[in-house]
This record gives sequence, structure tokens and C-alpha cells, in this order.
Amino acid sequence: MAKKIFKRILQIIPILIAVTFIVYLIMSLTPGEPARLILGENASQEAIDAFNEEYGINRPFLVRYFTYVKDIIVNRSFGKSWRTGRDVMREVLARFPITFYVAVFSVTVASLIGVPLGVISAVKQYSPIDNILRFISMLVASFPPFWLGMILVLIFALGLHLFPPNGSDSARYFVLPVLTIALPNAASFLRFTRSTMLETIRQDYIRTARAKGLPEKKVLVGHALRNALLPIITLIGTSFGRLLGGVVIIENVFALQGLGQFALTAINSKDIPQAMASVIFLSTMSCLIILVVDIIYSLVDPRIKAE
Amino acid sequence: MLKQSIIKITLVLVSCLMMFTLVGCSGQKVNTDQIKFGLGQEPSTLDPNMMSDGYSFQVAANIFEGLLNITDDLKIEPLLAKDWSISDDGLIYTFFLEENVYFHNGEHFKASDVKFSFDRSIAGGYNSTGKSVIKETKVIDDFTVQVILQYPYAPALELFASQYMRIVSEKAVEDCGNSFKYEPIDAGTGPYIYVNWISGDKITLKANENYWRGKPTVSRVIFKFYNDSNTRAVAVEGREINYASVSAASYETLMKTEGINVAVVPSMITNYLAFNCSEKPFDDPRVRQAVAYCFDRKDAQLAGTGNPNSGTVTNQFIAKNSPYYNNDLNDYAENLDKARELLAEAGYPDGFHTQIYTSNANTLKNIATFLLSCLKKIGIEAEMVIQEQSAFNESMRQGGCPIFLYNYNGFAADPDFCFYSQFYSGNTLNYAKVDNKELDKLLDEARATIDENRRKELYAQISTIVNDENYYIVLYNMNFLYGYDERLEGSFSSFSRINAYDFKWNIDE
Repeated sequence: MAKKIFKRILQIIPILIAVTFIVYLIMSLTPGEPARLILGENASQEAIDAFNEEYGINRPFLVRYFTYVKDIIVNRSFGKSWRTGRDVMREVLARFPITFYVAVFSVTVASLIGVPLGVISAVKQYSPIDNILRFISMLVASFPPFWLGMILVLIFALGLHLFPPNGSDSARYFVLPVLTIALPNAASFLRFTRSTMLETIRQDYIRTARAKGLPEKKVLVGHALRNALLPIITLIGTSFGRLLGGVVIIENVFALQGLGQFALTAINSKDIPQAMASVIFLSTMSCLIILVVDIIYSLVDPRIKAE
Repeated sequence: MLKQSIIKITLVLVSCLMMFTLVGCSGQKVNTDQIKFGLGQEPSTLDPNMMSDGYSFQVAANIFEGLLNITDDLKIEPLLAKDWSISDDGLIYTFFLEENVYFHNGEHFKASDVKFSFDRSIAGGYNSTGKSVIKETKVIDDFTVQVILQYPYAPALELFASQYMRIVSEKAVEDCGNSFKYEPIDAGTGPYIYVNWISGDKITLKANENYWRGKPTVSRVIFKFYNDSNTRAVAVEGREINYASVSAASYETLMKTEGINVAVVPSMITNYLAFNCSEKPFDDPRVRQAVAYCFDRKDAQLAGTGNPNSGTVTNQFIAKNSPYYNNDLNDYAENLDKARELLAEAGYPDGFHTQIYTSNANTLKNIATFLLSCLKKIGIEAEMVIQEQSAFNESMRQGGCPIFLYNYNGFAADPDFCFYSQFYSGNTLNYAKVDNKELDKLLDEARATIDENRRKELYAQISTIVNDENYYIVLYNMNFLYGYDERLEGSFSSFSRINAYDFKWNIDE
């Protein structure tokens, strides 16, 4: 088991290499000079040249790429931001907690709402409750995130003064952003849970369990839900991974200093070290999360070994 | 069982929410020890000699001071230099410095710090005007410094009042080393001292108890960054911050909110329409004039944001309250017949195909759409090309845009700043590729003449040529809208400066 996990971790390396190469290539080829974006329109040609000289921007692409990779491997340094001069990895790590907390809480709230309601919906298929739940979840899932965020701010922050409209100074500040992300996700969790549960309930072994005389609760939770959980876990895991990428829109609306905005600013000013650090960090996180999901999978389902 | 557990979970969630709200229910009380300003973007540095963006300057202007200051009505006043004299040939500026000023690190402010700061600013690469104008800075004695220019430069005093020429403590810069760029510890003489900068969140300053012009009223100043203008406006409305510039769209909501006011202040940002004057068809002044005749400025401004508060229509880059404002320029009020006539005369009776380039900014995109329909009326079929800012800058610089819509940020008032960089042949900011030798001569002479009257004559000629030729069609001067807590008293600057020193709370019990 440990050996297989180790092999999986090693597999992350070629993925990272591919991702970094592609992103570095794209950022280097798109039009726009970092020097002009960062130094401003009024900068003299000499300043531009000095900037390019200092950061080696005029060297051929492959030279730059390999120098960058070498720096990471040999000096363990991801470089300094061209825009602010700060160490980029330190900045990424400083912003990661906010993105992490928002992602964790959003996914948790979404699961706590979506999964149980999805089970109810499946068990009481076609009943009024099921219809209402399906309608509401479709509605909520189709709300654009920024719109939902603004509505919540309008009602609960500016209207009722229950929560602050934006910022990140304390726990209260995170309630509205988490709700904004959690609600649409809860809706999709609900719908997904419902459909996997329905599939599972139709299986023969469920009929057998009922025929054996097991109480309905035990059948549903101990057998049906347990089997339906596998794909649901995958969905939750990948949603979490996606949220770790930082939801830029939510970060903007709620003025949260997360990774999404960080990466976006870097891309807009063509600040390659900062953009690359964000991308590398996020890709690694995604790969690790997928690995964790697979491990959980193998624990929940004895038939699957972590490959 | 399931139903029960769901009810339980819901109750837990709801009670969590309630707990949070009870924990910190904030009323309308405000902490009068501090002011929180909202910025539109995180500054890139706090080093005044190496700045390139306005947001950095808004913060740094509270920490560092220059030899001179420029007031909101464009007058030069003494600051760290209590007096000065200019040599007859206009080449040597001698400044007599205040003798009892101390930096935040306790060091005595001296002429050597001025020389250090000026040299550093010129070497740094962000101060292209300073670099081309200043030859040398000399220390005469501890409180006298001389700046020798390369040629007589009329707006020199404005240069010394500009953001780039602020004074930093030589010792502080040496002590900080490489981190000075974003941690300028105890390096200024200004009313506020740098405390810390939390990346992505806010910058905190504290009052300078020993400030030479008197201790500031408010002890802490915090600058928070908000990229989204709506979020910023909401933050003002929700009392998260006390003052911020807001978009025209939030004007109504904020004015209706109790306790919040919106100040409308003319800015130095001017939206304009320009052409690539070096290539067909816009190398012909008649074609350019035809475009000028096909719409009215006020309609273009309304198209921009839909809100008449967003700006003031104007036909030139010079501010209305400037002595160089030219009242005799042609407005080219909408006259479609004249426009068609001019096009026919220039050889395009059936119009032609072209493109309007602009950036992703909403206001500019709206104006571009409006212009498309106006051009159509005179037979010019245009398509809009929207580019992301960096690509757009590139296109303008390379002269690839037949028509482009952009704005000019006139961060100084002297006409030399806006005319020289944009209309002198070959200059970087001369996006329209203007190449008019007569204009060049006038520009050179105007910047070197000290005689006010002669300068006014010259700039009248220059602005008339630019207006007649329609290289640029200036549309309107944008307004800054500042949303602020009514209990806050302060000054609102056209230069988009935030002088925290001038602000104080006015709470009546």
C-alpha cells in the first residue's frame, strides 16, 4: 500500500513538468511586455532595458525555462515577483490559508446540505418533497456565483446588518462567501447524490437485504448509501480541488486575499514568477487531493486497491 | 431518522450563524482613532523614487514629502524647501531648506538627503522627465542645494513637486537594503510613518508625533485594497472603510445611504479618441475632421457610463482652471452633412472600412459602441477590436490602430507634460504617430521659455494646431467620485491624492 502511494506521488512529477512547461510557454508567447506593464507607460527605454536585463527576459525561451527549473531544483527558490520583488512562494503560502479555509468550509457545508437532502430526494422519489428539492436545486445551481454573492450581501450585510459585506478580519467575514460557494455546490451534490442513490437502490443486493428482513434504515444507510458514497466522494474531492484553485469572482466580490486573485494579477501583468508559483502550487495540490480521494476510495471499497 | 438528523444539522447551522452575528453586531459607531481608505489596487511599491502607479503614490504621499508642493488649484508652494531662487538663464535652481525637520528615524533632514534622493530617482528609470531635464544636483551646504538643468525647463518647479522627487533618508535606505521597496522603515519626513504592509490586504501607517508641521489629528491610517469597484462601494456602504473612490454606477445607491456622501471631483484623467496619423486614411486631416463632426461629445460621455456625473465634456487636455486653457478651440458640434462633404473631398465619397481599438474597460467599450453607430451614419463601416490592456498598449505603440479610444492621465498640470509626450514626433507616448515639425519646434520653445506670457502664446498656438488637425479628439474629463462617511472631514483632490493629514473626524454627540 505504502509503495503504491509512493509511486503515485512520483507520478506527480511528470505532470508538474508538463503543466509548468505549457504555462511558461503560453505566458512567454502572449503579447505584452512585462517591463512596460510593471514599470508603467512613462518608463524610459533605459529602464525597460535594465528591467529586461535584470530578469533575463530577452534570452531564448528554452534557456529561460531551464534556468527557472534549475533554480527550483538546485536553489529551492521559485524566484521573486517581477512586480513587487517579494519571494513568490512565501506569498503563495501566505494566501493559501484563506483559500483553504473557504474551500474546506464551503465543501463541508455543501456536503452537509446536499448529500442528506439528496438521499431524502431519492428515497422519496416523485413525492412532493422530491419535486420541491429538485426544483430548488436546479434554481440554485443556475445562479451565477457573483450574483448570488451580491444578493446575499444586499440582504444580510447591507440590509439586515448581520454580517460585514466584505473583508477577512474575522470568522464572521467568511459566512457570506462560504454560503455563496456552498449553495450552488450543495445543489449539484444533491442532484448527484439523488441519482447515484436511485441507481444503487435498484440493485439486487438491496432487494436481498430487504428480503432478509433488515430494517429499512439499515438497508438505506448501511448498504445503499455506503455503495453510493463512492462516486459522491469523488465529486466532493474534485470540487474541493477546484475550489482550492481559488474562486476569483468570490475573492473579488468579498475582498478576500486568496490565490485566485493572486494568480490573476500575475497573469495580467505578465509577472511570470508569481504566475508560475501559483500554478505549480495549485497543480500539486490538485494531484495530492486526487490521490487522497483514491486512498479513501480504497478504504471504503475493499474491492479497489490504490493503483 | 434521516429527517431527524437533517433537522438537527439545520439547527446547528442556524445557531452557528446566529452565534456569529451576536458575537460582533456592529452599530454605526466608528473608531475615531483611525481612518480606513479603500484603494483600487494594491500598490506595487512604497519607494517614492521608483514609482510607476497612482495607487503606490496615494499611500507614499503620506510618508514622504518633496521640496515643493502643488495645491489643488495648481499653485506651487514651499514644503521642505522654504524658499528658492532661479538663475537668470533658467538653468540653476537654488533651494533653501527647512532647518528643523527630522526623518522618522531621527536623522536630521539635510541637503545631502536631497541630493541622494534626486540622484536615486534619476538613476532609477521611472523618472524620465527628471532624467532628461536635470543635469546635476549639488550640495552647497547643509541646508542649501542646487539643481542644474540641461536646458531652461519652464515647468521645472512642478517637477520638483512631483511624486518622483520626494525625499528619502539616505541612512534609512542604506539600513533597509533590498527590502526598502516595500518596507521603507522610518525613511520619510511626512505626517505618517510606515508600520506594516500585509500583502494583498492592507498597509498601515501611524501618526508622526514629531511631524514638523504639527502632529496629525488621526493616529492611524489604513489603506485597504479592493480590486473590484463594486466591492469597494459596498465596503463604504457597509462601513468597512470610511473613504474610497467609487464608480458612477454606485453614485445613486451611496447618496441614498444614510450617513454616506459622494463627492464629485474632476480628475486629471481624460478620455480621448485618436488616430494613426501616419497611415491612410487617417493621415488626411479632412478624414479626421469628418470623424470629429459625426458626433457630439456629450453623447459620447453619456454613452460611457450612462451617468452625467461621470465627467465634464472638454475639447482639450488642459484643465479648465489652468491659465493655459484655450477658450477659442473648435468643438466640432455634430454636423453630418459637413462630415460627408469632407469625406467626399478627401476622396472617400462612399466611406471605407476601418477598426476602432480599445481596452477591456467598460466605459471605453461603451463609447466605442456608440462611435460605431455614429461612423456608420457617414458611411464609415468600423468594427470594434477589444484587447486586453497589455496587448492594447502594444498595438498603440506599434501604430497598429487606425482609430483608438483611450485615456490620458495628466498627473501634472503644466501643459508641457501632456503635449510634449503625446505630440512630439518619436516620443513613446505619441501613439497617434504625430509628425509635425512646426509643432515640434513650438513644443521645444515652449518648454524652454520662462516668460509666462510668451508661454501662453506658444501653447495657444500649439493647442490650436492640435485642435485643427484633430490628431486627438478629446472627449471628456473623468470625474472621481469619492464615497465617504459623512462624519469625515477632508479635502478631495483632483490629483487623486489622499492627504490623510487633512482628514479628521467630526462627530457630534
